[in-house]
Amino acid sequence: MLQPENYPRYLGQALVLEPDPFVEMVDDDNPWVEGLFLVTSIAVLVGLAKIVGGLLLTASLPDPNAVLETFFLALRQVTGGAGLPAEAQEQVRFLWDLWRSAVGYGTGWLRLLLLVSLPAGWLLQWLVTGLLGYGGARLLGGQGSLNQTLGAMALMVAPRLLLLVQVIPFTQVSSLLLWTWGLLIAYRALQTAHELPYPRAAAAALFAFLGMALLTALVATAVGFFLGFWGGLL
Amino acid sequence: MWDRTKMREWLPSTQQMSDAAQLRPEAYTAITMRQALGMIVLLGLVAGFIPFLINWALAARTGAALPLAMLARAGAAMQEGPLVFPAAPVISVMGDLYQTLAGLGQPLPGWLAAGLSALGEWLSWPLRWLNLWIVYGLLVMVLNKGLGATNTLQRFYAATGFAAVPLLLSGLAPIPCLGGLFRLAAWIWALAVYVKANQAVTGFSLGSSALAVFLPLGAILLFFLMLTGLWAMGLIFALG
Repeated sequence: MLQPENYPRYLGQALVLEPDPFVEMVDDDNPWVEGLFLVTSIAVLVGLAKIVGGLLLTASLPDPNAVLETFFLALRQVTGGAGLPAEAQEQVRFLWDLWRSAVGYGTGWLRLLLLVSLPAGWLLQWLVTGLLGYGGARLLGGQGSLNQTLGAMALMVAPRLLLLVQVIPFTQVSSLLLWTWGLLIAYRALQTAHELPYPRAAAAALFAFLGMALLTALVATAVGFFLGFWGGLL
Repeated sequence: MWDRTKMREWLPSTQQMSDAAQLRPEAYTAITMRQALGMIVLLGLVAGFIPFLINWALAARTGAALPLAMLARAGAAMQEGPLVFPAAPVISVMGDLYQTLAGLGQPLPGWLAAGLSALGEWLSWPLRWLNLWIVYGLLVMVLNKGLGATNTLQRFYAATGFAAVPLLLSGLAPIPCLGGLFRLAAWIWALAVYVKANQAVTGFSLGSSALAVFLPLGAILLFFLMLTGLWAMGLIFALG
């Protein structure tokens, strides 16, 4: 049975690597469903915070088109009136729009996509990391089931609660912090779900995260190439 | 009603903080990771409060968000400084650009945009400290294990959280002339607390503890030096 009333306690304890939430997730009657609901809930909350943050950011900064035109004007002054060639200008506009979309600056209704893309991306990350972690742990002698692993690994989402502060624009949350903290929680999750000693649990968690990082790099490169061709940069 | 017991779960006592800052070893073993987390967040917010007020005032005077206000300031400084001939036109245009960007205006009133951006910067203080605590801590912990330590991650993170206490001084950085000294003192003192905390939880000698703490720092510096060297070499080859 889903227990969302326990999520704040689970997340708080997982952040400080206390064993209770991992044990409770492993002993749950349906750990992966609990994990699915936990990850989705946090992703939707963070998505909402980012939407509000993006609106406030847009309201706190000048019109993005005016900013870009001012930049082009300055370039014309530096180059003695010549400015950038039309093709290069288009490329700069494309990169500017790409950056604006990433930070939610003047993106209009497009920012609502976050409510879908963020949960979808996080669920995918959870599934991939969970599967890799399960595979790694089993290879190293772990005894836990995939269901239990996915339930415990869902607590990796705990540090991403910090992203809620992005409801205030200009707040910076380092991805390195979120991933490193996530790695520590994944280590505890695998240690508990598979009853592994610390070096094996650490190796399994590292394997899952390196696999995830490799996959992310491959997907990012593919998307980069696609956007590059689309935007005429390549 | 304010529940002191709940607060104790998330914060060590001021006496513990004071003992840790004075490098008394017993302080480092009497704290939980939960208390360390609460302490870092709270001290980060306290340290960032004066810079927040100063940033807000500075940005409100420009009537723009903080990053734009800083750019405008940099732009003014560029134009006031001595202009070296080959770069002079570019510097002058950049100075103009920065000031124009800050003057473009935004939908929110200037003071509010300034306040929101300064608030965002303020909230980033504890987040930066958490970043150091967790990410750098993991590197040190890996070295500790390599050197034979048997302590748990929780105990390690709990003790090293006390490094945030001297970092409070870095909140005085905006003070003219003395600010830089306060910041330097804060970092040196924090490193000393970090080494002592690491020694207390691992049982290492002072030298081994210092080695585990400073080796990742050296490795990171070396990495950036190499990266800069490669970049400079690439630039020389490209130009010549």
